[in-house]
Amino acid sequence: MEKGPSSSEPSVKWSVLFFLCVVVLWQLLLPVFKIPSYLLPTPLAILAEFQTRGGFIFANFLPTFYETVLGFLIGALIGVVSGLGIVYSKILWLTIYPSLVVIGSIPRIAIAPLILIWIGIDSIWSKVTIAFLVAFFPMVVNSVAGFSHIEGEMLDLAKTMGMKPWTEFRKIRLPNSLPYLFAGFKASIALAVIGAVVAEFVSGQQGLGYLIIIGNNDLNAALIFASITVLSAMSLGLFGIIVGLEKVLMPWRRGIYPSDL
Amino acid sequence: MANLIEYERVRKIYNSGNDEVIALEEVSFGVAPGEFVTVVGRSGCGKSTLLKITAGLLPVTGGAVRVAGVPVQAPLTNIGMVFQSPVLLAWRKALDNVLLQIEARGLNVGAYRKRALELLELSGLRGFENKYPNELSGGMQQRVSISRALIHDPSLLLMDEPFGALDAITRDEMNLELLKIWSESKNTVMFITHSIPEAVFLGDRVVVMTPRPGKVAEIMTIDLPRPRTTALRDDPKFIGYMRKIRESLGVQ
Ligand SMILES: Nc1ncnc2c1ncn2[C@@H]1O[C@H](COP(=O)(O)OP(=O)(O)OP(=O)(O)O)[C@@H](O)[C@H]1O
Ligand SMILES: [Mg+2]
Repeated sequence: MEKGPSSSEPSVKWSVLFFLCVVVLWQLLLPVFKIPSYLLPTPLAILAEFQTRGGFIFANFLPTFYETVLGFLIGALIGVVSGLGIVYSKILWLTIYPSLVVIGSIPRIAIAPLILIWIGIDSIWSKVTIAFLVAFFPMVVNSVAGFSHIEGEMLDLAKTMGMKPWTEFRKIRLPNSLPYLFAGFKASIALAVIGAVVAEFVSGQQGLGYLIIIGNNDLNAALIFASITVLSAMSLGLFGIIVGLEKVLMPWRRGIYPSDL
Repeated sequence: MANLIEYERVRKIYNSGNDEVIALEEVSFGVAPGEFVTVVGRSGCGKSTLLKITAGLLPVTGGAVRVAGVPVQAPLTNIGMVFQSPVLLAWRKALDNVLLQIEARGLNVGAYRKRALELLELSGLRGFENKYPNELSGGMQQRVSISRALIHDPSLLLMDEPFGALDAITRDEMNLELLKIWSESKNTVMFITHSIPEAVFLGDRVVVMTPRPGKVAEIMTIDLPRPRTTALRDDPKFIGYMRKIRESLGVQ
């Protein structure tokens, strides 16, 4: 087997190995450079944090997880439905779509405090709403593109086949949209995590975002890093589910991306 | 016999911004049922435009097209269409792309599977039935799209440079296969090409078009026996037709 950047594909094995090396170096070098633990904890200190406060961290992981997943699912659903509406209705295309682009340019995270006031700081739904607001936008844009970016002659051909609109949707527009939808899902899930965490920063009630704030107040860097670790693992897991689904649903795209490990 | 297609002073002007392109100017001719008509002309003389107008996919600016006596106002659905590009669905394997025609029409897919495989084999795609379009060459993709246009045995076949992407040898082979399929079905064919020999080899008549604005320069009846064979290409009559077409295209 040839090896080298040009011939070998990126592989999980090598990136895991690289990651482990970084962790080991991190552990070994911190004492050498005498970096105080409230600035940067060692991996073992983070691990110890998990051991002593695992239950507490997990209890705070669950709300973040629910907020993210619900915000994402609602965003994806409403995003796809709005995309369909915009593509199939001339009126929506002319009215809602341009205003969506304007709304999209508002930094939606900036209205998080308002949402908390409106819906209630205690309610999980205020945080779900914030996650939804940030996750929603790429979904609309991507589904509009997915349902409408079709070679004009393909639609002409469908007409010469006497294809009915519903058949055209099922056999052409829907499969055509899948790559776009999945690009949207990937962007959305990452944004939903950010939305949920920021909502928790602001509300300061529970969740991993809240833990990061506590860690900050207590100068407990180990807690912050433990929270970030869980957040990253959650993001990665959710992202992985989407990529897995993508591969199952779009076998014809296999091998197109270098990321197809 | 009444013509199947009747072009009556067809004009087509494209408006792009404040630019006007006269794509077709006063095109008039007829195509008889069962006839194989080829259209040759330089790039940009309005051949694709004429074909799309025939299919009801583009409105005329002036004049009229009648198919089977009825003015064309909406897309025709009883035709087989091959565009200049293959227009395949990326997520369907070759065979399923051919069968799209059947599914779209609500016909029984199982009943047509054998015919689809037959057509793919005739076009030299045996063994590639289960490949996705991105696994096929451009010429192979175009042959899938031809099979798709033939599978429902349409009474009118509209083909826009279907063999443009093929090498000369495969092209000659495909010409023979197409004539074989056509002679069995006896459907009417409008076939657009850049290639003068192809136009002569396939056609009962050759419509020669000149560009800017797109006009019919000449319609030539090709009086060569059928079935046409490769040997015919060396026939003095064949060569004579080619020369005449070159002349009317203004090739020096
Ligand atoms: N959608 C369009 N909008 C504006 N102009 C167009 C459009 N389609 C074609 N034209 C113009 O009309 C003319 C004829 O185009 P057409 O595609 O019919 O030519 P063609 O004979 O098929 O050429 P080729 O052999 O290169 O395929 C060209 O000058 C082209 O620029
Ligand atoms: Mg053309």
